[in-house]
Amino acid sequence: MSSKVSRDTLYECVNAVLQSSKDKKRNFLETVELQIGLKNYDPQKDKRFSGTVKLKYIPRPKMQVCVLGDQQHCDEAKTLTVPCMDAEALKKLNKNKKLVKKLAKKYDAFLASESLIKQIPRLLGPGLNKAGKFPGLLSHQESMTQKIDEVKATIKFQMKKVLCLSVAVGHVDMTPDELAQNVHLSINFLVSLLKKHWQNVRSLHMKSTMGPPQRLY
Amino acid sequence: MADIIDNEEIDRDTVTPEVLEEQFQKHFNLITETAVALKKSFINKLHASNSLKIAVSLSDNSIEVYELNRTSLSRVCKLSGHQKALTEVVCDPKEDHLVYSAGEDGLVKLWDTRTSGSCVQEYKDTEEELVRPYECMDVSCNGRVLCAGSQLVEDDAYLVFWDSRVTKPLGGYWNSHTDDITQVKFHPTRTEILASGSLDGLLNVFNVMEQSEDDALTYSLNVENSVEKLRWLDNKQVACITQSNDLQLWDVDSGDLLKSFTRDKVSRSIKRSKGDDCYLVDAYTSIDATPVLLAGSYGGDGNVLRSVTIEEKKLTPATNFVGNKQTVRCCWYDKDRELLVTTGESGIISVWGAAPAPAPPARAPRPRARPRPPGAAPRRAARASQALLILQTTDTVVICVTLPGDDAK
Repeated sequence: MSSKVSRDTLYECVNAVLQSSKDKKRNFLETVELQIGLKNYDPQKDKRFSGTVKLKYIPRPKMQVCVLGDQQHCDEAKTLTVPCMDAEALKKLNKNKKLVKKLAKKYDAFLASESLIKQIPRLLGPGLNKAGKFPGLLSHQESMTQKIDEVKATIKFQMKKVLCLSVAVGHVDMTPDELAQNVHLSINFLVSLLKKHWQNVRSLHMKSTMGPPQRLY
Repeated sequence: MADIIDNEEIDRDTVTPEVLEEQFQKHFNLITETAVALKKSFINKLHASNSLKIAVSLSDNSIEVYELNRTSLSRVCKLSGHQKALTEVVCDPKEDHLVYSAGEDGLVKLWDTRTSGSCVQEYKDTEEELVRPYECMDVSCNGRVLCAGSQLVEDDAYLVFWDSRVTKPLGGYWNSHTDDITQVKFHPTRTEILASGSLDGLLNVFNVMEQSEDDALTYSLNVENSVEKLRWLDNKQVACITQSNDLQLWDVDSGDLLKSFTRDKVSRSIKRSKGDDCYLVDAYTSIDATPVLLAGSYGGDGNVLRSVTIEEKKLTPATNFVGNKQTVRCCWYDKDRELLVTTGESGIISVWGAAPAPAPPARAPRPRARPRPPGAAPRRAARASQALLILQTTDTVVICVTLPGDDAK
């Protein structure tokens, strides 16, 4: 058991990131991202990896999720003032590429009821796929608000052909504790995905959209 | 909150060797193995024909074809010609001597192993300017249609189709995936059904007989993670292994997720202590029609390879592959001969044969009292499985013809 990033270093970095964004306010909510450099990894040879993890605090609070629901889910969505559409409304789009594209553009993500999710290709064609926003499953066993928060809080790590990757883990309006916890969780998850774990990690940095990078490791 | 620490725990067995022996009852013996090159090499992809011609793709972008004769592997030929990374190799389901390959140079090639490995056909795209690096390909069960899946090129990921007799493509789909297409797999008996998986986290099912992509797309199944491997287990079940080493089983007739097992669960079922070291190789349907998952561990010496049967809600230990020497990347299971071929990161092709079933009961009451029988049992088993092999390799032609039909049942 050896310490890789101490609690102190983590908080130093988090505070520095938050401070620099306070010093120079921007006109938008800056995102905080984690940047990872890899080593001992041959992108040609080694298996590519990717994975999704749910963070404790929502990194993208402004994300808009639309529910494509059956009767019950639509009723629930209306009382929660969550945007929703039922099968009839989807049928009206009539596989029209422009309309489907417009729908896909309007929201950041979709959730669909079990009965509807299978019909999506039939009703809409590949339009949502093309936008990279094919819905996730919303079952009747889980709470809608929880599921929506889960979608908002889930981030994806994906290694492509270069030896670095970055992922959004929070924003500058978070408290230092919230941000630190998200970073903590993200790093641990990332390391679990790597074949040689910490031996594959060259560097870890965090930075806000406009701010300078802070070295964690 | 604590420091971020390196958990240096070493992956180990969670049970004693005796319990391991007792739980992993289905025995496979190593029949033969060969290293493909003297230099350190690794094998990316593996495919075998019905008569057990084994084609492997190497890290130097060449293909080597081996033939399994009784209990030894002999090299048939080496096929080279791809300029960039070779990403897939597939044996023709009908013609035993034909091998297809796809690569990042945007070419699909057809090779003839009889003519000492010359490329007999090159399938190209129509557009000259745009090179589509292919990540994967497959051939329909009748050998007539080819499909290759590309990486993301200028925001489109393509599925391109060819008639195997014509070098010009029949057409393509590019609206259903939004990232590199890592897997395409035709249905084992129906030529019109195709499953594709991508880094975008979708498993798409197509009916390629339909006129347009819009109509062809039957289901989009949300895996919610990048797809690493797809495998048809029967006429409607597809096993999907994700890049974070989880397993999902989908019914592509109804579009339902049947089962899902996390990496930790697989790690526990193969009796290893550290979930982060577990890797999933592939799934296949065993001789008794149960789906089997092959998994291993990077931990320790990295040679742990075990299989588990996939049941309703759990994974049950099946085989412990004793004597495995590498991190396994791919496997190929021959149901008729009960053979498993494994290849991996040390460039070794290993052929495993199933030991006859009666071995386990003899094993149970085997305390120190009688030292002879325990030794005798495995030796007998090994000889029996060899006999099985010889018997079956002699009538390969018959098997070659009937195998695709068998899958139909």
